[in-house]
Amino acid sequence: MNASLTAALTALLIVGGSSDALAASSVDLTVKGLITPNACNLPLTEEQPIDGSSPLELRYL
Amino acid sequence: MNSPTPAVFALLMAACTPAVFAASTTDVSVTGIITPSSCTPTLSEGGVVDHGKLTVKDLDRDQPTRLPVGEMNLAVHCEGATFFTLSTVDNRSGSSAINPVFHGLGKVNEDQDLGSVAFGVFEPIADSVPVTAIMSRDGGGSWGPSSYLGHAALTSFAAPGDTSTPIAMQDLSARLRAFTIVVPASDLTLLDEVPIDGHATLQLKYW
Repeated sequence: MNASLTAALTALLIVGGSSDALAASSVDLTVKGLITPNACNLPLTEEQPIDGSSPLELRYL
Repeated sequence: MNSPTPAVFALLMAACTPAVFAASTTDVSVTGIITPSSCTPTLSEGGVVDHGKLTVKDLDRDQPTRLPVGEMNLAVHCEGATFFTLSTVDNRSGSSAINPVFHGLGKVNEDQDLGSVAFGVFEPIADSVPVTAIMSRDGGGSWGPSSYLGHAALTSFAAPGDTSTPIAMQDLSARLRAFTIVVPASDLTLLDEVPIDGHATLQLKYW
């Protein structure tokens, strides 16, 4: 009985007041980034034998 | 001692009776709203998901590309146990390329929709107890389990045993995830750098 009463009251509260909430607050959400059409390649002009392994990484700024 | 004469009585009445020779009225109203408690939402990372710089080679040519999922903490603190709902305003309205219930990422070349971002709330905890995220698409008339957070529905939280009714909470914490999707590269004319420009306002309403 109490649970159903609470449910009914809550529905009334939210439906009845959905356009008239007592108060509201907000915060911004941002999704950002950049897409560039140009990709850079890292061609090596000749084989560069080196000891060990050291991956060459290219980062876009 | 002599008893007061009628003239003395008349003087006393005149001195003690409020002036009622003429009267007019005006209304004085005092208005305001007493809220049960105030609630404040906060987001970690400043509410920003930054996908950094991508090249066109990072995008699938023929299929939408899902970018890494952005994640932040959502916290809501109220002064007392309060019923509240969450929803968003899409500040890039009209540019959601994948689904209109998601949020837009802005337009390319003024007429090409760049993609969409969908938000969801996960692992919600209310007042130290795990709860279930619920959604209503009819303004609060009916509710069902869903992690959806957006402008097309209300989001609230319920006890796991009864997902048809929002509960009042004082403190809520949850993970807010952003699922960003960019349209196929073949749908975009990329002659210059293009910003991913999603922006929404998370609104919390409480009663």
